[in-house]
Amino acid sequence: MSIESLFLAAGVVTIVATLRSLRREHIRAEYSISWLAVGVILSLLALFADTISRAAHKVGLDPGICFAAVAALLVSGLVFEISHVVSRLRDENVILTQRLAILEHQVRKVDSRHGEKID
Amino acid sequence: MESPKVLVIVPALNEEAAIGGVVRSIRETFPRFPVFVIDDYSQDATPAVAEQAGAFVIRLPVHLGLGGCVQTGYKLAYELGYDYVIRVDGDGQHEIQDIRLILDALIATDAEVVIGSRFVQSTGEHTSIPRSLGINFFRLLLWPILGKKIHDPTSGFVGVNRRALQVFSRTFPLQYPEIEILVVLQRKRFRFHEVACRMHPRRTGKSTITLITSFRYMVHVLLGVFVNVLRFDGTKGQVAETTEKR
Repeated sequence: MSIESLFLAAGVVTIVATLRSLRREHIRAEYSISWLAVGVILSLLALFADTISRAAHKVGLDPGICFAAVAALLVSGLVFEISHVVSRLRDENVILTQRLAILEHQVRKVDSRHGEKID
Repeated sequence: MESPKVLVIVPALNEEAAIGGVVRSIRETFPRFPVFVIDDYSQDATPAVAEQAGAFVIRLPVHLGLGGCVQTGYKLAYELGYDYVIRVDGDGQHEIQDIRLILDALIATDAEVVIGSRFVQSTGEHTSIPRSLGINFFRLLLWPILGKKIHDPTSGFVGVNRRALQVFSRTFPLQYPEIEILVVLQRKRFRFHEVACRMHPRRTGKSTITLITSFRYMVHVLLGVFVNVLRFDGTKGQVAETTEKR
């Protein structure tokens, strides 16, 4: 199997899997964009493999290493974006958790005052 | 002149054996100060014991870590209009009577943060060798950043005033806050002051500090300090009341 076919298969699988997940609402549209972009880039790399190989030769790079570097960059970009999203969600969760705990305390306080009045 | 509103917060995680004594001691020594135990999702009877001893209890529905737990207390205190908040650990190691020393220093010096230190006059030290090494390491690290010597950078016996509350209720380190907040203070051009406080050995339960947690602590805190140093922007940490609630 050539590197071009591998990239094309990976690109198509990524796009199909993302669209399927979107349809089933397993992934939200805003988070699917990066995956679709990765699928498209992988497919374009496969379709224009000759051009990329020629460009790699011109700058003295091995085309295989060049493809691997691009794939590694894509994966790093995705992982970085996921870390970014997870960090933001973590911050939001902390704020919500703290707010919930404070409100719960205030509700219990109101409840106990209400109970005292009834008694 | 109206007396300042003071709140005592006690972050606690699985401290059922010690928390009752801590709360009772605070209530007996300072009957006018409300005590809030912030329970970081304990799996034992900590909340019930604290409530029975006379504390108000804020129960976090999930475990947030020490910083998130302490910040909950700061948020509550800021929203309820308290002038000063004293944080006391729930394991009974802090000498409750020394709350007065911290409060007096907050008022007298007008520093944003006052730290109850075990090492200012070497009173009541009960520190293991690895922990002492860690404390000395962070003392040396913080010295050039803070521009002055700090004796006890890991102390959890801390008092803050309303200016600090305003900042800490918005931004506060979530995991290991003690050292990072010192850099945050410096970044915001706030002042801190240390007073000598007594420290007792842990009477019940056992410390969660292990070799692995110590390593994680060191890496985490070093990264936190580095990030805060990168964030230095020279702005003073006072923001308008209208913009600081999220």
